[in-house]
Parts: sequence; structure tokens; C-alpha cells
Amino acid sequence: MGTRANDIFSGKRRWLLHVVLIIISLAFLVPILWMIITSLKNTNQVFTWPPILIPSPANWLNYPQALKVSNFGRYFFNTVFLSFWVILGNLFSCTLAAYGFARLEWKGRDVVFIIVLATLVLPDQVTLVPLFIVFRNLNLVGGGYKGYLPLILPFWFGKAYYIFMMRQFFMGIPKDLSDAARIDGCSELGILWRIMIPLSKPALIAVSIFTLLNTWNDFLNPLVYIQDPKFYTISIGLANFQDRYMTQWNQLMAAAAMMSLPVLIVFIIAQKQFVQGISMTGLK
Amino acid sequence: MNNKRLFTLASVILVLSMVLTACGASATKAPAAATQAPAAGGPVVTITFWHGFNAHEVDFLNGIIAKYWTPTHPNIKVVTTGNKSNDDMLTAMSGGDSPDVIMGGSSEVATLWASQGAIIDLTSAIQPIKAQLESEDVPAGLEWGMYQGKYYALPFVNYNWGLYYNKDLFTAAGLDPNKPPTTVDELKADAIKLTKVDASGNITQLGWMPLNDEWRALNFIMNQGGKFYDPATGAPTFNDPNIVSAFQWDLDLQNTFGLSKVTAFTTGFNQGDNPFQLGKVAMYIDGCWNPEFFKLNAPNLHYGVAAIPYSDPKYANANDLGTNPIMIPVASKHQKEALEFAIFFATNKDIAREFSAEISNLPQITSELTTFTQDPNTQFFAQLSTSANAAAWAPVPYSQKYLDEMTSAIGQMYNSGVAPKDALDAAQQILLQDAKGYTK
Amino acid sequence: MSAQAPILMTPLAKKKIGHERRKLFLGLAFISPWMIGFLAFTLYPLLASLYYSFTNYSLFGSPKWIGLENYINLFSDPKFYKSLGNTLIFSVIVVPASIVLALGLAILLNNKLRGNSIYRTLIFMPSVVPAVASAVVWIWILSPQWGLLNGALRLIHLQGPPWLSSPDWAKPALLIITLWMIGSDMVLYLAGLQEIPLDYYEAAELDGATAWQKTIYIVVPLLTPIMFFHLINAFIWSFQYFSIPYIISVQGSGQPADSLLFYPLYLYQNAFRYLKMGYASAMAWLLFLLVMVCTIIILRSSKSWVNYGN
Repeated sequence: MGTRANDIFSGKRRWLLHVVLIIISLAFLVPILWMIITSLKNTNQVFTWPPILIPSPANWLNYPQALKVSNFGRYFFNTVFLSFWVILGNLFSCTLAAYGFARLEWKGRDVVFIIVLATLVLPDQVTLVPLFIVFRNLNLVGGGYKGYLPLILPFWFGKAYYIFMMRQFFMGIPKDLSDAARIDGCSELGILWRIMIPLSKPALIAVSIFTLLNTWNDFLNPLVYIQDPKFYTISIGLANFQDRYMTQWNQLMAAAAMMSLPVLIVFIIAQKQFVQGISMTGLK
Repeated sequence: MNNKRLFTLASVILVLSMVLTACGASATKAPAAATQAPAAGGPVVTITFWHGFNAHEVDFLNGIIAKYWTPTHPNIKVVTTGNKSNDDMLTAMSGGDSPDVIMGGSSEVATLWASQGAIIDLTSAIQPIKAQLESEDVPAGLEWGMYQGKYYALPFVNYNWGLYYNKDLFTAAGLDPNKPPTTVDELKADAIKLTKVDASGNITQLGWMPLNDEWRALNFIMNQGGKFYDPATGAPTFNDPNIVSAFQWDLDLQNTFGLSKVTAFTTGFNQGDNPFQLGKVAMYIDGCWNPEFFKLNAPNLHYGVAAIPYSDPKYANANDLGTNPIMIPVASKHQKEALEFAIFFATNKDIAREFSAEISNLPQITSELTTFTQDPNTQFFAQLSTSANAAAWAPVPYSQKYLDEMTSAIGQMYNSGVAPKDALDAAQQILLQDAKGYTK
Repeated sequence: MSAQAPILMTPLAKKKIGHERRKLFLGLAFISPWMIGFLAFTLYPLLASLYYSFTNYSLFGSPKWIGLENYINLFSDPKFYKSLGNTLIFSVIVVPASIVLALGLAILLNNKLRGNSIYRTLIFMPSVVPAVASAVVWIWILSPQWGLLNGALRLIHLQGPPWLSSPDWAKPALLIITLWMIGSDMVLYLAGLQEIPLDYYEAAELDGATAWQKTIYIVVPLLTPIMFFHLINAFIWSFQYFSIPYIISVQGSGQPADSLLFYPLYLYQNAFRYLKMGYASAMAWLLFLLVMVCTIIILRSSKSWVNYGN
């Protein structure tokens, strides 16, 4: 993170800047606030004019009620379970590949890396139908935990975005460290495991967080592959909730809040890593 | 690697992939293995039953199964899963873990899925009861389950649409609350009398709910003699003159007050709110399930039900008779047991009666139509379902797309000012093209 | 190979070749999971998609070869053009708007203000809220009669439009939602801004440059690599836009009046609602070609306006 702020605005303009920024940040915050406020209202407080800004007493019962009708607890667990395997696989495969692209010299390496980058540009929909057919033929569509495999497997075999991120980071680690280890007789795998990875904690955390966010957010893939309601992820759960309880806004907002809260908390705790991770991808 | 090698490798991968795909796709034709039905007292077979009902209806369905099926069929255990959309069922049927019995959430899926070979032909299985079925069931309800002359789905509790009108608003406008309109001319006159506009021209009370919903539209159209498909060829006839004129009639009526004003009025309600229930709309078309709903949520609403007004007496009492089709996926691994259950479920008179009463639908079995409810409004709908003009509006494979195209066309006519003839001609072209893909 | 006098390899040359081979082997070994994944989850489906696009396939039974028929039908399908148009219109508006907003916000935040981190956090938070939750919250906020947005407009005596009930206002509504989540893009630009050396500003200051001039002549040119990266990302994202329109048009109908029928949504409908896998595959391949062409155009053009370093 840079330490020098480059002031375009100076002097008397600063208070104006503050005002502008306060208004803007509030505008961004309001929808989230409104979600929480609505979730604490009684049904007869939802449709009022002027709108009630602070429901009192706050109806916290909307939350357990929403949980009861929608089985959200189960979906939450499912999504965490799924995320665990996805993150694990991603860390495994992308560090391996990133090391191969960043620290090893081999013929054709840069050409292959361009192919990796090219896959970033491929929209999901292009591969959706054949992948569905393949997984269907392998009997992985439908019930049970095996329905998660179509969502987990691709991450165990390297995702371009994260390979790119880790490669950037690996390239920033001084070469002397690995050269020295190599001379000492360490294998490449050993170098990766004992030197590169311990030094890459910030990047690994960033990758994990982004993968978590990605899995939490994913809607198309669970929609297509997960059939059994017991195994729904939280995104499908909320979509179903919307279908059936469209008019009960207070409960719907409670459900939406429950879906958002975990990732918001992760974000607040790991803000720095979030920001660092994003910065790493842009700079080149 | 030099360029030549690279090229060869790429070509090999290309060819290999295409070959693999072709092989993989045809390898999944394996028909479901039929399991032997166990003798009485033998091992228990469990079959899965998916349906689209939700909330308390799920529990009710389970209760019905426990009450009527389980005691007499201890060998076949039925496990139900509710809240399944048609898309859910489709994806599951195409995979390895297909449910054994499904009840579609809409009538339209039966013909589509039959044409694609997703559900089994029931004709031979129901041979023993075919005569009984055809004599006992409401005739129109059977239409949705048939494709190319064969049975692919069994009807279960039907539903239809009719005219609802607000008696209090009628009285207030000087109209006889016991004389709802029967012809479209009467409907127009009444609608104009029942519409109230404020000083700035905004609508405060609407006489007739516009046809900007595909279900209202198609039921209305049926009473104007509109035909949606040609029974001989199965081809769509969306730009049938009677359909064009029906939409034109409605748009002209709405334009008396300004179409945009009407749209502003009708979209001003919350999703899920019923303007008729709120007393803001005097007449509209809705389904047979509303009387129970109104009893609970609007006990002070004084309303009546009637047949939708017609343009010509020979079209009178027309209504789309929908059903909840019971089907057996081809991929079911317990087809014999599934069939046994499906036939039982669809022909049991007690189940038909009790379930219809519970979800405010209509029994598919004619004899139960007079006994399943005491509510006069629901009884009216029950009778309507046996009218000569009750029919499936489009039992063709592309009916799903038909509904979507109708929705798009309606959007164009009511929101974007496109003339009915143009919107329907365009939609007809799309449907013609689409329908070609289903001829086998 | 023609007969030649055997080439004499020195022991050193032999060792060098062996060394090269070993390094190649190692490299390939490390990227082997990626390579398997690439073949199985990217290359194969891409080619299979091409195959299916020439067939009629409903998932039941086997694919039937019909040659170019899917493509011919596609080119006379009004919904194809409508969905493509929707996606292109959306893309053409969202992408530049995102760049301008992200850049603008980053510039505003790139000042040593107390509370900077709070502002940054608040602006970033919406981009962390999951898509489905955002969609549901915004449906509520955009409700014509009871929603917060029209309520706020009412306060300043403006009649808010029917937003998601109107074909003309549905896409602008989605634009608002998209821009609301600009936080993660803004951070990209912030990082880039931190990299600009102070001397550049000081030099400009000495020359008497105004804040506006400093922005145009220093900041923007130096940020072009990031803008380029953002441009490509946003462009690809807009062509994959699925979850929010699906939820907002309730079960992916694309209504009102097909205004929200984006290309990915229509593709999904064709595949999983109408069981036309072949037709959907044809749509997929056309999408692929379109994206490839646009990306190459953007890449080529980048040489003229992106400057790295200097």
C-alpha cells in the first residue's frame, strides 16, 4: 500500500471534499441500512408513508421466523462446506501452477501463460451446456453431496484468475532465496512448500477470501447442478425464499441480511487483504 | 515443440473431443431398468414423488398419502419432495437421480416433455382403466395429458378461470349486482360506467382489469372464438383474426381512459396485492381458487362470479381447463411401482375430492364435482369445467414457449404501443419456426 | 529424415539438452493440474459446444445432426436480436460509466483526509454483498409505490418512474445497482493512484496547473494500464450478466417486455426451459466469437492509448 497521498485538492477545498464524500458514502450505505431496518419491522410498519426509519421496538423475531420457514441454517452450512473444498482445491492447484509459471524456466512457458490469460476472457455460458451434459453423463447432477462435485472439481484444476494473482506475488519474492535452497539440494516442490508459501501468506489469504466470496455469490452453477433442497446453497435458498414470500418484505430482508452478514463480517475483519488482493491483480 | 507437431497435436485433440462428445451423448440412451414388483409381504420399494406445492400443502399431501395409499400399499413407500419447479424436475429427470413420479406445476409441460421422450407413454399401462378414465374424468382435463393420440400424463385436480365482479361497486354505479355482463358489449358498457377518474385524469377506480397478463388474456380470447392452434396439424395460429380483434377490443377499451393511465394505476399496487380484493378494480378474470382466498383475506368483499363475457353465444362458457399432470420420467428406476401409485392417485375419488377442497381446485372426476365443496362460487367454477367450451388452450409441445411469446407480445402491446396485428404476426413467426423443431 | 553424417554432440551440449528437457518436464508437471483442467473444463466443452450447435438435442435421446439449421433459425429469431441488443446496450453504457465512476471516486479518496478509510470501507461494502441478496434488496427499494428511491424522489417533488415494471426504466435500474457495487473497481484505481510519484504533481504545481489539468494530463494517462484491465474485465462481466436479471425478472423471465432478457438469460432459457441444447450451443458459440473479436479489437486499440511506464 502506498504511503504517499497525492493531493489534487488542497487548502480550503478540503471541507467541501469531506461533505461530498460523506454524502457519497452514505448513498452507498443506505441500501444496506435499509435492508436491516426493514428486516426489523412488523408487517404493518413495512408499507407506510412517510417511511419509518427506526422501527421500535425492533422486531428481531423476523430472523428466527425466516430461518424456520426457509431452512437457512442448513443452506448456510452447505455453503460453508462447499466453500471449504473449493478454497482448498484452489489453493492447491493455483499455487502449483503459479510456481510453474513464475519460478521455473521452461520452453513455451510464456506462450502457455498467454493461453491461461486467454481463458479469463471466456464467458461462463459458452461452456455451460456441454459441461452440464458431461456431468450429467457422469451421474453427478442431482442429489447428495456428489452434486457439489461439478462446483468443486474445476477449482482443483486451476482457475486462471487466481493463478494470475499468485504468479504476480511469487514473482515479487527475491530469487536468491530459492536459488540458495536449490543449491542446498532442495527439490522444486520443497522450495514451493518451504519457502514460497510461508512467504505468501497475504496472497494466500486474499485468494481464500476471494474464493469464499465467489462461492457465496455463485448462483448459476448451483441453480443448474443442485437439485435436492437439502443441499441447496444460500444463494438458491434466498432465490426460493423470494419466490414464495415475495410480499413479506420484512422476512425477505431478514433472509437477505442473513446471507450478507457473514461475508460482510469477513470483509470487515480482512479488509486489508481484500484491498491488497485487488491491487495485486491490477498492477502490471 | 515445432509448429508442425503443435498443429498435429491440436488437430488430434480437436478430433478426439468431437468424437468423444458424439460417443458420450449417445451413450446415455440406456432405458431405465424395470424392477420387479415385489409380491405382497415382500421387500419394500421406495419411490420418490416430486411436486410443486409448497407450505402447508406439502403436509396436506403427505397426510393424504398416509391416509389412502399407505394402508393399502405397504410394499411401496412414497417419499415426497415439494416446492419443485418445472425446471428443477426437468434437470433431475435428465440426470441419474430422477424422481419416480412427478406432478408438473403447470399443464403445459406434459406435451413438451412427452415430445422429447422425457416421460413414458402410459397408454399400455392404463389400458385396463382407460374406459373408466374417459367416462369418469372431466373430458377437458384429459387433453393436456395426450400427445399424438397417446396418454403421457394423468390429470389431477383441475383449475379454470372466470369473471369476478364487485357487487358493491356495481350497486354504487347504478348497475344490478346480480346481473354481471354476459356479452362483450355489455362488458364494455359496464366497464366504462365503473371507471372513475380524478381531476387530473388519473384513475382512481378501474372498471375492467386489462388483459396484460397471459392467463387473463387467453381465457378472454377463448370466449371470443380465438383458436391458438390448428388441431389437425398442431401448428400455432397466434395471429388468428379473433385473437387480434380480442386484444384490439381490450386496448380500445383501455384507451378510453388512456392506456398509460391504466398501466400506471395497475402497476401502482405492490407485488402480491390484488387490486380487485382491495376494491379498486370492479371486474377481472381470475382462477377458481380465489373464493377460499377471499374468504380468508377479504371477508367483507361482496363479489360474484360468472362466465367470461363472449362475443358470440357459440363461444360461451369457454375456459382453459388446466390440471396438475402426473407423469413418470423415463429415467425412473421403479417404473412399475411408480405407475401403480400414479394410477391410484389419479383415479381415487376420495383423494380427488379432499385435495380439491384443500387447495381450492376442482376434482378431475366428474362425480365429485357436486360434492367436494359447499361454497357456491367454487361450485360455479366446478360446473364451468364441464362446459362444452372448456378446453386445454394449447396442448402442443411448444406451449411453454407459446406462453413466453404471449407474455412478450403483451408487453409490446401494452407497454410499447405496438399494434396487436404486428405484435401477434411477429410472435406467430417465432412460434411457427419453433413448432417445426417438434415434428418427429 | 535424410541420411546425414552423424552430428557429434559434445558432452556439454548433451548435458544442456538434457537439462532443458528436465526443466520442461518440471514445468509441465507443476502446471499439470491446470492443464488437465484446461483440457477438461475449457477446451473440451468449447469444442463440444461447437459440435452440439450443429445438432438438435433435448437431453433425452441422442443429438441429431442438423447442420447449420440452428444458426439459420437464430438469425431469424427476433428474441436473439433482442437479447443481443439488450446485452450490447447494457455493456456500452455500464462499462464507460463504471470506469468514470471508479476513477472519479478514487481521485476523490486519494487525498490525505482523516476518515478516508471509513469512506473507502463504506463505498466498498456493497461490492461484497452477494448478488442474490442485492437483487432482492433493490427490488424492494425500487418498488414504485413503497420503495425508498421513489419515496426520496417524492420528497423533492419528483414522480419516480415505475422502474422494474417499465420496459424503459428496468435497465437504468440495473445500471444503478451495478454502479452501487463499484467499490472493488475503485480500489483498483486507488492502488494505481498511490503509485504516481509525488514529483509529477510538484512539477505540475510549479507550472501552475489546476486540479483539473493535473487530472487530465498526469493522472489519467498514468492510469491507462488499470483502465485497460478494468475495461476488459467489465466488458467480459457484462456479457456474463445473469444472476441479477434472473432474480429481478423473477425466475428469469426477462420481463417486462423482454427488456431484461439479456443474452445469457435467453441462452439459459433455450437450454433448460425449452430443452434446445443445440440451439443454446449455437448461441454460446456466437457469444464466444463476438467476445473474441471484441477483445482483440480492444487489445489492438490499447497500443494507441495505454502507456506503460514513461
